Amino acid sequence: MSNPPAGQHEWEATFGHDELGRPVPPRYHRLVLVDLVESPDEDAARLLESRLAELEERYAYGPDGLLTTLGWGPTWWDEHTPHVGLITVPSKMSRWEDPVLETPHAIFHLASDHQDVIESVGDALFGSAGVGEHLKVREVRTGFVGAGLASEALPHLDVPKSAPLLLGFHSVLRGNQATEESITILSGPLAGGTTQHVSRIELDVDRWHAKARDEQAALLYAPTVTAAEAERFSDDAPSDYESYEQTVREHGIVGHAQAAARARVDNVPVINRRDFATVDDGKPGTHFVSLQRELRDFNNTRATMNAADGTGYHHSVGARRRNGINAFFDVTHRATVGIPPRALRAYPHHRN
Amino acid sequence: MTGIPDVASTVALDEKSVVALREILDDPSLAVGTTPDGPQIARLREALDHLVTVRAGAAAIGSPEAGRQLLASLAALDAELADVLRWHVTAVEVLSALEPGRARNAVLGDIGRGDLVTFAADVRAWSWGDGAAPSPEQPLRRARGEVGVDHFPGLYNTVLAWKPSIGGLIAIPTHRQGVSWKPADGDVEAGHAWVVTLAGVTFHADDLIRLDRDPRSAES
Repeated sequence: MSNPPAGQHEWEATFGHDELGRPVPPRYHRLVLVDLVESPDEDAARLLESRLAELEERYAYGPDGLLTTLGWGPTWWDEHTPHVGLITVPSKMSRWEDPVLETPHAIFHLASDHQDVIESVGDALFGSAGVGEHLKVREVRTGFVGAGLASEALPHLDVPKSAPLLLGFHSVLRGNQATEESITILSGPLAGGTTQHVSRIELDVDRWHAKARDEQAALLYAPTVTAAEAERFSDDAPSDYESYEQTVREHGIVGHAQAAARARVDNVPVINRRDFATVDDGKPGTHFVSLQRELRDFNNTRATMNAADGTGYHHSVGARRRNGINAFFDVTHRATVGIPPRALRAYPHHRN
Repeated sequence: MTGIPDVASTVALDEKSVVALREILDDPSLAVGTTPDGPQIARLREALDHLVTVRAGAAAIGSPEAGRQLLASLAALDAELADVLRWHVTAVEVLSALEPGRARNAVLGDIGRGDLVTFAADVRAWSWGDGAAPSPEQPLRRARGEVGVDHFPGLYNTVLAWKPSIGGLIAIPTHRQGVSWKPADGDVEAGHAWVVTLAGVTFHADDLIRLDRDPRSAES
């Protein structure tokens, strides 16, 4: 096969598209949070790199084969490299959340259209011939994104078969993501790489799906958007964020996408979402994986999305009530990593 | 005079806020597991989120009377809502009476912008790294400790803890790295006390208000 791209995060050129031209990410995902067993030596680095390279030889680069990233957390950078403080620890991001702020040494993100590929890769990395001698698995998180999978996971709810995610709408459109080029770090220890914020989010799918589709569309996009319109979005969600204040005043509802879009720069988003749905531990939710050039791009987007100013425009809008999807989700875990370029992915910048 | 100008509202709760709070208390938006400790805490938390948004807690800065009016307005809506903010009002009164200083002004300034605070019920353990509180010469220090709080700590932006061994009244932001909490007796129902644990939490000298007496004794 041809060599995979230099950036581990460069996945999108391999994505297919649906009938409306929307990008279709891999259907199955796995996040593996790991900790060092001990400070790695050169053998450990060679073993990790060789296992990853073998997987790239075995599987095609793309959803039909395998896509991966391996990012390293604050404890790696602070304790084992000269780059102390390169990746900041995650923090609480709204008044109503109490997430576990995690600092694993590293996070693997594995993605494929084929669940058996994910299983095999997990075995190859962490089975008897894998890297378990040096990296201990702290937690494995699984999930999916794609038409039919959400309705299959929640058969008791009225999730449309066409919806790729549990809230019943598309979230990845052609123009509502930061480009991979724009999130690639240009200089410094992570040059050619990017940063990643990983959240575990629980969703109150029962209360959400008890709402009418138009009401869902108003909260998810903007109060001026109907469900029928939202289902046909392909290039972007034209949620008219410049009219945010006026729309909230008129309708007494904050639209999630409308509020979050205020974090764009020159109408271009600053984060690239790789989120996927999950029913891990029987709790429906999202593993929200966000890539961005700087972690503060995520923080700014999230703070803007909170729409804490909504109450000032209409008294019936609260911090959560009638405020986007704030009343329907809860972030239970947060973690941050820096994803180096592929050539440095095994124990990057290790200080011997 | 508080030394914190233009941040206090003269009206404890306006009519729109009362309507919004009634709606919240009657029909709270219970986010999934935000507060795994029961719907009652989630209900109070949403109401307090709203009070933060409209900066209702800043009303207490105006005068002790304004603080009492705020509590009376809240009590008319929900007795427990008023109860969880009782120490907030006392704290504002105590802080306002102190000589202006960076640490005291910082807390009052945050309250003026909407933050809600409470007093720790007790300080169960406290130790400063290197054995000394932050000072002008060494402004950053880490602390380990445990403090008791009467209500769910996530309801507040800051917990104020006093003990001579701390060096005065310390402002503990509930979102600061290393701060966590759990029910004091392992029971997670509303109304139970909580224990806040500090695992190497960094404080600045401006988080410490030099005070030689227990401010909780000032409760009116």
